[in-house]
Amino acid sequence: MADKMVKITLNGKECQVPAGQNLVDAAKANDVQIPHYCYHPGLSIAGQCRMCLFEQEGNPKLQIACNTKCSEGLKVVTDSEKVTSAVQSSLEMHLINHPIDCPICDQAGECGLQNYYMEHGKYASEMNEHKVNKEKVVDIGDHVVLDKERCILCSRCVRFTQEISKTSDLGIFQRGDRAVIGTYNDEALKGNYQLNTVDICPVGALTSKDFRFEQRVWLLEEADSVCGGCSQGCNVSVHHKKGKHIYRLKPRYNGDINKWWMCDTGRYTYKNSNYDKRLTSPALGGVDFSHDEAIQAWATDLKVLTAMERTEEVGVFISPHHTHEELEGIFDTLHKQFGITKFYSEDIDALVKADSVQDGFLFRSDHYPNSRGFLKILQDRKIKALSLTEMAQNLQKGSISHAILFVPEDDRVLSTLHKISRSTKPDVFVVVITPQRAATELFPQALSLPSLSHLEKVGTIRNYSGIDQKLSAGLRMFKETESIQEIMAGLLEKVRETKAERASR
Amino acid sequence: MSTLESRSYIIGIFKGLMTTGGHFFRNLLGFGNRPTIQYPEERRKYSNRFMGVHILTKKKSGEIACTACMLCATNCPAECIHIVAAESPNPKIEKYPAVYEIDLMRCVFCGFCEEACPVDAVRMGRDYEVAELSERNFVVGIDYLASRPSLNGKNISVFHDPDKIVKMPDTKKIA
Repeated sequence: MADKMVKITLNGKECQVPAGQNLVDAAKANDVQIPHYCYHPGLSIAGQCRMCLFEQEGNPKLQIACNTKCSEGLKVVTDSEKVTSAVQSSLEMHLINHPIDCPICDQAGECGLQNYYMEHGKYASEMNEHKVNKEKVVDIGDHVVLDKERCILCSRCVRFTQEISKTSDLGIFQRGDRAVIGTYNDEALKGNYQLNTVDICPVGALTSKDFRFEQRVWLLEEADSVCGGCSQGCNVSVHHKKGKHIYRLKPRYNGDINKWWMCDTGRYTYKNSNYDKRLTSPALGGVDFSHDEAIQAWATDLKVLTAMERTEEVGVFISPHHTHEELEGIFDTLHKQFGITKFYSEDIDALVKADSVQDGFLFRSDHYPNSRGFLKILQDRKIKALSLTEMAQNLQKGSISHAILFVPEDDRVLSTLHKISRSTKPDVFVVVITPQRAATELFPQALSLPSLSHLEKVGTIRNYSGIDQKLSAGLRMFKETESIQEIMAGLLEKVRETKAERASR
Repeated sequence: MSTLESRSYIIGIFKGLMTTGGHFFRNLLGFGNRPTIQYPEERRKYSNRFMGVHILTKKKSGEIACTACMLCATNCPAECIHIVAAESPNPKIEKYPAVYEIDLMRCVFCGFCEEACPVDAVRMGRDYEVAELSERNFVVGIDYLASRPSLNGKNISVFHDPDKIVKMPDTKKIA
């Protein structure tokens, strides 16, 4: 279908578009914006909102663009007097019972009504009746708040629960101006995809509980990244304020992976990046250190071991929560430069083999974002990762005297770390490199270095189907945190410095 | 050129002393307009447009009129307004400011917050005597902004003051 191109005329300009493409999308691709509320490229056509009206040559009646497919010779006019006045009237109709409580509405700033009112508003109200009052602040589940007054009945959320999440929770009840969105028997929304209804809601009828009153959207900035919650690798945009605090994640369109959607579990992974969970300063035995001194202490201990050729006493814990670049940095430094061979990790092979979709849509059982890339790098470098039980045994036996732990930000890793911390004797020199504060609390005597959280990183990860994706957020929320590449480079520099000092003496 | 006047500097000194002395005696004996005033007892009258320390207005019920829409904070060029919005304990009100702080040290008293406010919740007041011992005390919160004694509880928002409610224009006449 997409191969054949047809010629259509948009406001007098001839354009080549794929045959059968939806007119709203085709016009958008050719810089003609057709206003719409109910149309969403990922959902079926409803024709509810009557905002996308256009004039078709040879047809006396206005047509809706969302239900028009492009065919040869289609002549479209969207800027005539007839169309603009019709669109204005449609918008006026939507606003009749809208409460216009923008100051307290979380959607303000990204609201379809606000945006289109600037272009297609009538400004002088012709309504003299009282607005129909409906329920506000209706709790419909753990993630979503419903405001029935603000709803314009575009039915996007209803179609989403029917077609995409297949939970069929939402419906339109009553008739006429009393029609409202609601859940059947006032039950809570089900499933792991509830917050997508908030994304697709063009107005403030469905808002997120987690983001409720947190911040006004016009104060937020966006950065592109990839979710680190599972091996699916949904594309997300990170909404942060001045690079200091992340407020929410929103899915970003990727036709090959997540389309327009993402799961609720993934959305909450941003919490790991914010201050209350983060390690923000290097520390040794619980005392804050400067970054330079901390790395110096580590380099000294590591150098003694290399000088005495006891590198087999070094054990490194790694996980596929790191990007390709970070893993390369770790292996380049620790394996190539220092000759460390003992790398321990969870059984990633088994995780990958058992990896399957958990909820019938996006969320997968492998909770690491880069398992495939991790296995490939190990294979390329001919490194065999040893199991964690072996690490615990070796720590118990005392054959590890220097442990380096690259701990991911995930809470799930804490139970495995607990085992390691219990078998660690007090004379073992432990270095914990992590963005997460909870991990360092398990090793009170350790040298801990703060690293970047997943959503701040720049790098590449490989998802379950082998697609390499770029993380390009490039944030640094806390001054003292460094990426693993920087920490590794700093370590090498310190080791070389001390070597050079000795040579010059 | 050397004139007699410039060579005998005594004349110049007396000329200068006459100006100083003239001012001294005029102010001492109270002729004409004196530019100085006896400050704490005597006060200048400021223009009606004078912008002093902000006021947060209240509703008739005594609750704060602010809805925490953050338009003032957005419009503030000095970034001195800090608001934390929260769910109000009153079920009839959805959103209210749990924290509303203005850093008077950062504030430039431009009045943009007053202009931005859609509900007449923040106004520029007339107080200008702000002196504190610590910089921290210049960060003032809701208690000071809405209920300081100098306001006498008269800070009722126009949207909640029956005498001042702006009536909507008759839509039929417009059409």
